[in-house]
This record gives sequence, C-alpha cells and structure tokens, in this order.
Amino acid sequence: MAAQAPHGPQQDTVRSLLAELWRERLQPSRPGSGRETPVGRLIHGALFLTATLSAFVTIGIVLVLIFETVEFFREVPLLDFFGSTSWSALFAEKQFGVWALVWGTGMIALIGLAVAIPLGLMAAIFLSEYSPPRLRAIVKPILEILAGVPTVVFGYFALVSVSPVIRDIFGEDVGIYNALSAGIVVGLMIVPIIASLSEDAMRAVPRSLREGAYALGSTRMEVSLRVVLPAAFSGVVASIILAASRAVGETMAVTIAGGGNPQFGVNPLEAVQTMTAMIVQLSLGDTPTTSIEFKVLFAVAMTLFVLTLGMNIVAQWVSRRFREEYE
Amino acid sequence: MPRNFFTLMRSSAPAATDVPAATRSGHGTPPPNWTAEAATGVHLDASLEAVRHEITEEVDTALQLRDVSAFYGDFQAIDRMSMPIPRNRVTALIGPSGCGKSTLLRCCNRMNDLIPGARMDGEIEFEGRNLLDPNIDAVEVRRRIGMVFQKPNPFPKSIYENVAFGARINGYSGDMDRLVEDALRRAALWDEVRDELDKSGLALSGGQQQRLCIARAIAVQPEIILMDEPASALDPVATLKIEDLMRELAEEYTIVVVTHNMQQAGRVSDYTAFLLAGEERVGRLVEFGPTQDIFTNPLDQRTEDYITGRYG
Amino acid sequence: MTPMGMTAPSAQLTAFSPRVRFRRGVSVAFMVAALLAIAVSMIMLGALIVEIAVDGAARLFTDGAGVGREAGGGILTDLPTPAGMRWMTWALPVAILLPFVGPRLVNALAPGLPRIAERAMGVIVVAPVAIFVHILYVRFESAYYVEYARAVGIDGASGNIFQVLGEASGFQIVRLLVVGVLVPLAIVAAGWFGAQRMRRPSLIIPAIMIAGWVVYLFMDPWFLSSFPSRKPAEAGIFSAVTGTLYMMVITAAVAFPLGVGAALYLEEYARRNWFSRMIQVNISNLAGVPSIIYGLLGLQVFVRVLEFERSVLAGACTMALLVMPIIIVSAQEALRTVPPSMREAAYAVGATRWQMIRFHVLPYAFGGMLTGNILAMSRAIGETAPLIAIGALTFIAFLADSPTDDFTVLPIQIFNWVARPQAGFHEIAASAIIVLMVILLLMNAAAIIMRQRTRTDW
Repeated sequence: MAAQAPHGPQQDTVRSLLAELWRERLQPSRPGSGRETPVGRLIHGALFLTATLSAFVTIGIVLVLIFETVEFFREVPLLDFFGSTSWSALFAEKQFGVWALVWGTGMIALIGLAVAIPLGLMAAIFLSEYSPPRLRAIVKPILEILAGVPTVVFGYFALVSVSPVIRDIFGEDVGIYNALSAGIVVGLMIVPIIASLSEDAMRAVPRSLREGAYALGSTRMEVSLRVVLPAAFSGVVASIILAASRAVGETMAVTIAGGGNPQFGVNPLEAVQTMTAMIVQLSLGDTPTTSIEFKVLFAVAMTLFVLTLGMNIVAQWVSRRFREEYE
Repeated sequence: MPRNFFTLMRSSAPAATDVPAATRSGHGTPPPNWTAEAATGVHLDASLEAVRHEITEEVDTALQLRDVSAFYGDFQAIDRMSMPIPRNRVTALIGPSGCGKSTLLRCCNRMNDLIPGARMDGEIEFEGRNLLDPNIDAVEVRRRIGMVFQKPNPFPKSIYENVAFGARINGYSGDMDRLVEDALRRAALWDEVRDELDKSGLALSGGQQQRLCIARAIAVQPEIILMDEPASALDPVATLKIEDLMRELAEEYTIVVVTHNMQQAGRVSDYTAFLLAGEERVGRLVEFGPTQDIFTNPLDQRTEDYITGRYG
Repeated sequence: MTPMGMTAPSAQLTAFSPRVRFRRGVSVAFMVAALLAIAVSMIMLGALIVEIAVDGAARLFTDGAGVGREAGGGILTDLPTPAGMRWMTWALPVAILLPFVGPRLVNALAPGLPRIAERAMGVIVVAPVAIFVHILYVRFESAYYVEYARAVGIDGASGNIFQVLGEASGFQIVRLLVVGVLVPLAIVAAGWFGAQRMRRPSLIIPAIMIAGWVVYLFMDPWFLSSFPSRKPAEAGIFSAVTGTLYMMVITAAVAFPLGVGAALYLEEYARRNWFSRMIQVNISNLAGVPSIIYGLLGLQVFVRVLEFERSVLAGACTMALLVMPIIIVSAQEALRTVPPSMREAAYAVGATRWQMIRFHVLPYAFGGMLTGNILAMSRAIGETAPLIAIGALTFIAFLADSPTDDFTVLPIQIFNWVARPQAGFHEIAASAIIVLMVILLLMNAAAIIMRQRTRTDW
C-alpha cells in the first residue's frame, strides 16, 4: 500500500534528497557571481536538467537491457546461455549458447587488433618522433578521414575488395563471407584511434626526456622505443583498449562481411557471427516483441554492453593509474 | 583600429617602404647613419676578434672551437666563435639572456641537429677530427660528450635503470651493478639512494634528480660533460652540492658549464668565456681567459660592465 | 694535475661496444618500417576510394541508358530548366569574381567605407549562394509535386510553385519555408553579420559555387531523384537522401541545445564535486557504448514506450542521444578556451552569471561549439546500426511528409543493397556511397572552415 500513499516514507527520503541536491545546485558556485536573478535561476535549473540527461541515458540503457534480459532468463536457464557454445536462435530447435557469438566477436576483434596495433603504433611513432611537421600536417587529416568513413562503407570494401583478394590467396574454397576480411577492415577502421591517441600520448612526453636520451648517444629508434614509448605507455595501452572496445562494438562491417554463421571454430577463413551482427540479424526480421528471439536480443546486448563498458573503464583506469606525472 | 575587414586588409599589405630600414628586423644592412650604440646603448666593436687572456698553466685542449656559427632557419644565433676548451678544467660560458651560450653548448655535442632548420658552420676539433663534419656520427659524438640539462630530466624509470640506460644502449659488457654504483658514487648520490635503487627517478627531490642526471651522464664514460645551467632550477643547498660535484668531476672530466649566475661561474670555473649578443641579436664571443683574470681584470669594457652588474 | 694524452682511452671505455653504425642502420630501417605502416593505411584508404569510385561513378554521370535504365530520367530531368537557372549561368562568374575582387575594389576606390556599406558588401558576396540554394530547392519541390501528381492522377500539374503551395500539406509548407526561404535568408544574414569577420577576399564561396555548378551540369540527377526499385537499373536514392536530411535536421535540433546546455552546466555552473565528476565520467563512458545499444534503447523508449513508431522522429531522437556525448565534450573544450580574464571582466562591470555567459562566453565559444556539432552530425550521418535496431525500413517509395512518417536513410539503403547478392545492387551501393561520402566531406570541410573563420584573435 505504501506505493499509493501520497507521502510514503521512501518518497519522502527521495524528495528530501532531491531538495538537498537542488539547494546545493542553486548556490552561486563561483566567486563574484552574486545572487542569481529569477531568470538566471530558471536557466541554471534548465541547464542542470540537460546535464543530468546523460545520467538518465545511462540509466535508461541499463534498465532497458536488464528488463528484457530478466524476461529472457525467466524462459531460458542461465546455464543454457553461458554454458553452451552453439547458437541457433532462429531455428525450430533453439540453442542460446552465447559463447559462439562472443567467440566470433573476439576473433574479429583479435584479427583487427593484429592489423591495427602494428600499423597504428608505427604510424604514431613515425608521426610523433620522425615526421617533419609538413608531412604530419598531411598525414593526420588523412587519418582523420579514415576515422570518419562510415562503417557501412568499410563493409562494402570488405566484401568487394578484401574478400576477393583473400580468395585469390587461399583458394576458392574460402567463402566470400569470412572472419578474416571482416577482421582486416575492422583493423583498418581502428588504426586511426590507436595512431591518433597514441601519438597524443607520445607528444605529451616532455622534450627534455628525449634530449636526455639523445645526449647519452641514443639513436632515434632507441629514443622512440626505450624512452618515449615507455613514458607514454599508459596512453598507448588506453588507446589500444579503446580501439579493442570499438572493434567489439563494431556492427555494420562485421554484419556485411563476417557472414551469419555463429560458430566456435578457430579458422579465420570461415564465416562467423558477432554479437552485434546477431542483433542486426534479429532486428531486420519482424520479430514479435513477446517472442524469445526478441528477448535474447537484449540478453546478447547486455553481454556486449558489460564487455565494452568493462574495457572502457579499464582503459580509463590504466590511463589514470599509470600516467607519469611530469612537472 | 576598428575591426573592419577593409581597413585590416590594407594594413596586411606588404610592409610599406616608408618604414625606416633600421627598425625592421632581419639582415638588411643598416643605413650609414645608424649605429649599434644608438640601437642597443652598448658600444660594439665591429671586429670579431675577441679579447683573449694568456693561459699561463700547462693544459691540454679538449675541444678547439674555430669560427663556430649557428643558425636557426634564417636567424643567426652565434657568429664565428673561436676558443679552446681546456681538458680537465671547468669552463664557464657567461653572458646575458639570448647571447647564444646554450646554442654554443649544444653545438659541442650536436644536439642542435635535432632542431629542424638548425645549421652549424665552422669547426670544433675533437681528437683531431671536426665534430661538425656531417660525416661524423652525432650519436657517437653524444656518447663521448655528455650533457646535463637546465631542468632535471630523469626518465620515468627506476634509479638503477636511469643510470644503466646509456650503458645498455651502448653495448656495455661489464658489470652493470658496479657501473651503476660507481656512477652514483661519483655523482655523490649513492649514499642517499643505495637502498632504493628500484624507486622511480621522478620520486627524488629536484637536487637529487639533477645529480641522478649527472650520474646518468657519467655512466657512459664521456670525455666531456656539457652542463646547461644545471643548478638554475634548484634551491641554494642543492645548488651548492652540484657546484661541489662539478669541482670533483673536473679531476676526471672536462666540464663546460653555461651559467646565468656570475658568482657561480666565479666559484666553480677555471676558465670563463663572456658572450654577448650585439645588433640583430647575434651572439659573439667577447672575452675568454682564466676565470681569475676575467673577474679581476677584464680587458673589455663590456665584460667589466657585465661583471659589475651594469647590465644583464 | 698532469695533462693526459689526447687519445688515451680509459680502461673502462673498452667495455663499451657502441656499434653506432649498426644501430644507426637499425634506426633507419625502423623509420622505413614506420613509413611503410603509414603507407599501408594510406594504400588501403586509397583502394577503398578507388573501388567505390570505379564501381559507382558511372551511374552518377550518365543519362541512365548506359547502365540499362529505360527511357526517361528521374523526376528532376523531366522538367524544363526554369528561368532562374538560366540566370545562374550569368550569375556564376559574378559569384566567383565578387568575393575575390569585390573587397579589394571597394577598398581601393572608397577606403573609409561606412559600416552599412561594409555589411552590404558582405551580403552581396554571399547572395549568389543564397539564390542558388533557393532556386534549386524550389525546383526540387516542384518536381516532386509533378511526380506526385502524376502518381495520383492529377491533371495539368506544371510544377508552378503556387500550385505546389495550394496542394501542400502543413509539413510541406514548413519544409518550403525553412529550406526555400529561411536557409537562404540565414545565408544572407551570415553575410550581413559576418561582414566584419571576412578579413581577406574569400576563395571558399567561389569554390562552393563552382563545385555546385559542375555537379549540376555534369551529373544526371536521376539516381538522386528516383525511388528505390526492385531492378538495380531503376533504383535511386531519393527517399534515402531526403530521409537523411530530415533526420539530420531533427537530430541537430534536439542534440545541439541539450549538449551545449549540459556543457554550459558542467563548465560554468557545476562545482567540482562527486556529482559533476560522476556526470563527466558517465559522459565519457556513454561515448564508448556501441551504437547498436543506443538503437535498442531507442527501440524500447521512443518506438514502443513513447509510441513514435518507426518514424523519423524516433530515429532522430535515438541519434541525438548517440551523438550527445560528442557534442558535450567538444562544447566543453570550446568553453575552456574562453580566457578567465573575460569572465572576470564581465563580472567586474556587474554582469550576472547568465549575462556573463550570454554576452561573453557564448559568443566566444560558439564557433567551436558549431564545429563540434557538425562533426557530431557527420558521425550521425554514417551511423546505420541504431536505425536498423529501431526498425527503419529500406524500401520507401515516398517522401516523409511529417516527422512521424516511416523513413529510410542513406547508410541503411547502402546496407540493404550491399547485402544483396546481385552485382548490380553492389554498383548502386557504390554510387550511394559516393553521395554519402561527398556529403560527409562537405560537412567536414564546413567544420574546418568554420573553425578557422570564427576563431577570434585577442
């Protein structure tokens, strides 16, 4: 009955907490700002609301995901979801082993990182340590263009340009849809993230450190690899984790080029399905909102959300925890 | 001026011809009625021949500078400086800001190579070869002529790794622990850090960091150590320690130190070179000689003015 | 102290083997490898561009017959060229010359120009662009009306603008007003108020005019002005392009005020306490959430709970949430560039906090905020996944007449075509990609220009 009472104890607590929060918010917080006029107060309140919107978005995401996920696990036991490696949500005999999708996601992300880490790190080192300013002024905007290309375009590229080359190399047995070509374009997609963030971190390393190393008789490579790279380590690692998180969350290119075959094999020349591709596949069909296929969408999305959120938090933690403080 | 785009456009036109040439910066020849005295208030001798005191003791020459000039792009920083750097002595480079002290120092181990657009002329003789020769490898030069910087710049590594770094890259095959200990001892830091060699070099105090940088420099066994205002970022106590250290190191190494502080030059150096930037901000050598002579009996009026604090 | 020999090596020196030559070589090899890494990325980007250009360009520059299309173009080509367009032929050289020589000429002839004349000059410089936009858009609306009239069987539809207005629905009138009238007026206003900021003769406006003219002359617009079709040779991207434009306008209208508001709060009002830290961390985490998850959020909140159905509005709201973190962060960066002395100066003359923000901070930071907004929009324009999740359709043979209509956007259309096995659809996908990339490139160029133009020197 408490929910119907106009002033239930819980509501009171919430209300007083909110009131406390508001009182605090509405104090002038900067010296010299004086007391606020009614208009100023109104604007202050409105701006406060816009700022809290982002918190509501997060809450909304979590609630939406949890709600349907709980529904899903009412019908399918937890063990079937996390304890199995075979996925066939669209067949009559349904299996919901999420590991098949996680594995597909992981495989494409790993291929992507295998492409992007060497390319991105080398590009970052070149831009930060070797490049004359004029060359950097050309290369950086091009990398930005690469970062701005819509992912659906990368999907097209994978299908039309990368896959045929892979088939030329490995023979006609290889399907047009395979994990390798999707992984390669995902790698290409995240090169700019690694290159750009790592370069920022490396350029933040003080000049004096480089000079110190040069004065001991280091070559440019020794300065880059043994002084600058370790000094910028936190930023570099954070950029790689962020890029990995982006690769995991990447949707269109892997949907187009990865094929739609959830499986748990190690061969990168076979088609796989990632979590995101599965979500797209289920979204494209007209899935009734009460069906189990609709609910499993959210269970998979929840897994994806937790995974990427975890990676982002780790990246932030790494860049804070291991950052070297120079005066 | 109003922020009006028509007027602004006019003012951005190429420099008008009615502006007197003397007020423009650059390398244009000054007009005949223009004098250095009028522009700078300092009398400048047109001759590049610096005053040289006689060197009375018997001493080897570690470096011989001959007509060394340095340019940053179009800007000439130092102009045809010639002087010897005596071996196993402390040589101080003094002079007001912007007179090219640091530039000269950075020529001596080719650190200027790292600055885009920097260029050097002249000759620095080291063991019978010209250091400024492009065929001479700057990496090799820097190993044999070490450098300590204005602000302590230890690597974000452990104390041990900081000292061992140079030795490692240069393929040192001996006992690394001994080398590190030896270098730290010579830098008068060993007693303070012997129990915490794994601690980050950045965790030390400013003075300790600077001594760590000195230890790092001497661990690669250079013949010459260049110091660019090594104590300017330190408190008086730490400064004193660094100065004592310089005196001790001079027994084994040749030291060239740039300093802003004339008392410091007087305290630590055996020889002193006084540099001054004249018109067009080009640094030139004014006077060189034993520190004692320079400070007690300066031969050039400008040196005397500087030493007695008349300008600077 | 005894002098030492010139070259006597100390005993310890022999323990070093610097191998400088070898290390130098390794260093150079490393540099070459790093250059190669960049080259590989560039080559892949180049391959991508070449592939798309080769596959897709033909369709954009032919009359349709070359790719197997039956007689007749898209809806635009059926109409005679209006008088205004003929005038543009004459206006173009003027439009190119005016921004370039105009300021110089006036400057030379009448140096002490009064403020009003200076502003008039600014208007004249941008006027051709405004006229161009107006004429092209009105022509497009007329053409669309003729097509519509033919489809529903209205006789005597000539595409006269008054006829169009008479038949138009409320939303169409709003559309005509905004794009056909307000946008050109805004361009003119930009010339009026921005006259002071044009410090040098402009090359950008002529460049835009020339590019627009070349596209108009050489590109047969049937691909742009046709609806999707089951046959690749007949299919166009008319509904996708208009859907994209609608969605972008609504997305910007929703996301920009909210994002800037949040940034203003965080930078100007919030104290540094747990709350603002939490919001800040939350924003950076939101930026890392995969876009498809925003799609699921939009599906549940906008499509189902708020019952927007699978409409432009639902898509735009979802997209607004997606790009809001980008807008907030870039607006915060813009606000941080405002020198503290300006805030203090405003307070010192007795301004309230809001007056300080309104009259000093916002004008200073607005350029940076707009730039961030454009970049956020260019992210939104290429996003596909969230719209698929909320169920945007791919086969739309009509234009949205209100924000609650079904819609499709370019990337979804592309995805749909790429996902089909026939090679013919792959080719039109490439053509659509070219259109998408050109829009993106224009937006990025606009952002860069804006960043340079609005930078105020102090």
